[in-house]
Amino acid sequence: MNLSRRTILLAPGLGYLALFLVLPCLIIFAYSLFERGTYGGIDYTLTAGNYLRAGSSLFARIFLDSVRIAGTATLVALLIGYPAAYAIAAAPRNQQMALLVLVMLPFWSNYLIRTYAWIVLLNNEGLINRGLESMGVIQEPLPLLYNEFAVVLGLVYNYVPFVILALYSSISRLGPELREASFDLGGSSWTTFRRVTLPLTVPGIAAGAVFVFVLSIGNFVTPDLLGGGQRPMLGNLIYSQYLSARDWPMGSALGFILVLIMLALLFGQAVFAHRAAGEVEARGVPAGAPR
Amino acid sequence: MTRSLLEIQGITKRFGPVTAVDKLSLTVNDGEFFAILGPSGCGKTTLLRVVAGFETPDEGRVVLAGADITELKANRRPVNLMFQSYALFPHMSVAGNVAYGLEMEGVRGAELGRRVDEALALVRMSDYARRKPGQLSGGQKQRVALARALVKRPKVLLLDEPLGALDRKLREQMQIELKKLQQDSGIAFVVVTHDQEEALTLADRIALLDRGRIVQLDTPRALYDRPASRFAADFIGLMNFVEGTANGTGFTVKNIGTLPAPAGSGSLLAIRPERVRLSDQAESGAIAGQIEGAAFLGQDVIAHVAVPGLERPIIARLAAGHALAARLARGQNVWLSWQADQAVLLQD
Amino acid sequence: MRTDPIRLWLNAHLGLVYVFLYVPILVLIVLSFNKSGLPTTWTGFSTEWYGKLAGNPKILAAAGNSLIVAVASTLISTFIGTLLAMGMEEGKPNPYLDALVAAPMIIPDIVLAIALLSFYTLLNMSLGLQSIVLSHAVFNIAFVCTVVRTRLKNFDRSIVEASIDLGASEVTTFRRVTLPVIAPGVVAAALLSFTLSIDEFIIAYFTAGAGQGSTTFPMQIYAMIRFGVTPEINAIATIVIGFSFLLVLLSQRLNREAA
Repeated sequence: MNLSRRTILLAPGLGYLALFLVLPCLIIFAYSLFERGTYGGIDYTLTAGNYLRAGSSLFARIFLDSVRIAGTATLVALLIGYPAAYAIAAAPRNQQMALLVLVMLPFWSNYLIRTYAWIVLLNNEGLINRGLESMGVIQEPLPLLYNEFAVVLGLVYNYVPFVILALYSSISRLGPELREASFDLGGSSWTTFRRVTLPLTVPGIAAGAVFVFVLSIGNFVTPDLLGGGQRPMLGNLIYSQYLSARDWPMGSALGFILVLIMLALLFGQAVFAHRAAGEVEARGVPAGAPR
Repeated sequence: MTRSLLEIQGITKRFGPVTAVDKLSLTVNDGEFFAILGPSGCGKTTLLRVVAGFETPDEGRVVLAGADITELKANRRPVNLMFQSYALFPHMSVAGNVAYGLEMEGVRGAELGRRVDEALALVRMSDYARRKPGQLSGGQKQRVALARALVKRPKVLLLDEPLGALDRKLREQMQIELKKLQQDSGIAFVVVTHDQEEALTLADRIALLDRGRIVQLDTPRALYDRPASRFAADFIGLMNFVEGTANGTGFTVKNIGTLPAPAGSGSLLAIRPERVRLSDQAESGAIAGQIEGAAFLGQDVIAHVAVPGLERPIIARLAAGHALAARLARGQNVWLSWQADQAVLLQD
Repeated sequence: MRTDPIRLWLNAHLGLVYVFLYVPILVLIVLSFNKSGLPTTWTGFSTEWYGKLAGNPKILAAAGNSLIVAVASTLISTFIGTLLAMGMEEGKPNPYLDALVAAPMIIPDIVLAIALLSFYTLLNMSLGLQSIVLSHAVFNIAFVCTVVRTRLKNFDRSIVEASIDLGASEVTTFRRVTLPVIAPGVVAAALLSFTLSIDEFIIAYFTAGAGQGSTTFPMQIYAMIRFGVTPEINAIATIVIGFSFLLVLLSQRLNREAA
């Protein structure tokens, strides 16, 4: 009796996802193995050419750029986010929720708007440049926009709230006992942080890092608006293959590569988290305890 | 004359390779307080759910007041269940919860209100009619759950571990209340529990279950005084066990001699601690031993007596007023005896 | 036990992070009231840009389209997603199901965009608001399902059995017991779904088709940013920000009530 009830409940959702998610993904995977037709359609000849071309110097450069930009954004977001998350976790209990909501609030407004705000701030006639000029710090406007710096800044701005949330959850789960034990045994603040807190929050760091990296590397809007076409990333590449070059097979292949990168990272993080959890348990045994 | 109300006939229920209930049959009589007792995993909860209609038996029938209800869906059975977690509807008030079952029967308006008030008065929760379950204590929630089930005047009320979640004092209080409720309402109550004290206090008759089968079905007194198996003897209350051989007039134990025992056969002698007489004077026929430890329990004293030749100490229970109660010391020599007819012979 | 200077430093850092997060937003809000519309010169307080907004048919049409799409995809996904959540919580957890439901949330949105575009084109389906609705429903179903599942995990299953024991049919039980108890979670999920749809850009862009009548709000904003920054965008930004903040506060309120 219960089995058929479950099936009835699951059917619409699974059916919808099968039709509008699984099937389309299979289609683009199939496309990635075909060739671009003369007028932009599909020429149904099987080929691995798209994937081979993806390794060519033109595309490879963009890959590496994307990885570098996403990696930088991830690193910066972590460096900014960790102390912030720590500060929130160390705040009085009843304030923590409010502090977190305040962090997440900007995130709930439109992504385009948030990115646009940086155009206003960073461009040559923008607030920052004009402000610095009027203070006499610089003579000429600084090129803050339409370059890699702006893209990284945009990515960091958009994803720092996520990182803070992920890290906060990891840090606050630790509780004060282990830190107190470290102090009791003579450790300094820095040593306690380095040898107790930091290692135990590595799973949270890994989760946050993978999150930001995956979101950054597939990002379209930020490099498009803040990079001004100078620094196309993987997302922009897929966009142009589909809508400009009309090379859907190539675009599909690139899309698939993006998905593979993402899956590899997620898998790596899951394995890492699994092992880290085991290590934490093992480390719980004091060094001198009888086994 | 006792009339059979609920007949469980040869019920078997399997979950994959596990047989939770094994060809089990029993009868509950009209107006009876019946307990199904057993350790966890013995199948008692499964049996309860079969009667309530939430599990379909693989074999057997359930007959209620002469009608076969085995195929009947749970919401059509004149049987109601008081859940272990109470399962009160969190978004409805107390009165709303109690009214729910009546609404399902089509009861409306003035009569609905009257019956709800009646039920709440019965469990003394009238003042809480407007409260939500989240604002009630455990004992209060239980009373609402009872009212909700009883208001429908079921033929049988099933209770799943009713007193487990309550603290000691509350539990004793609720035991009395439950017993009173049952007698006043005249509805047959079937309690499922792992707590033998609860079963002994509440029930008119107890079915002791082990691994899906009935081990013994008896009144509490009979189950306590005359357990028919080692399992029953061990499960109910504290029991002393001595291994040996029955020889018709007594019980022979290696290296010790013959202990008082009723006529019959068996390789295990069981004697309740409160039936063991303790004396600091040597008596003929008494067994010698030393006090290993004594625990003061308020109204009783429990003494562990090490007897040379026996693996485990014999436990004796003395009333606080007993002459020796205040004078027991470790290592003290004592003598144990009991009346032959108060011991029970069992097969091991 | 924290030594004070470290605490101070951490809190200062946190303060700076808040400044970093909020200054760009505040700048937009202030600018939207700047008569000159330029970030560099303040010519006075004015609401003329909001007025210009109200008179801009393209923007109004885009906003209307986004509302239609958001409402439609929220309705579809809340219904399907809640059923899906209930189905998944009944019985043993299935990692394959979990993965399938997680996929729309994890997959990069541009990949989903090209996949759906390819799918619709293959079917020769005409593109427009309806195709955007269908596309948005894909990830919304996943989000709704996830939120409702969390609510269901704390759901005491025995009240369903209690309702049946008291004589209610399955439908009555769902209507009077299950639904009211999970309602706050369902509403929160619907709110989330609505917000995600209103803000979504790239999937809408790819699946809207060429027609003029299927531009959504984010698409319009993108066009305006890309092809000429006008001060009206600041006004739009302020309104959007205000709306989102309201929605967040609303859902926080709901969460606190449900707790």
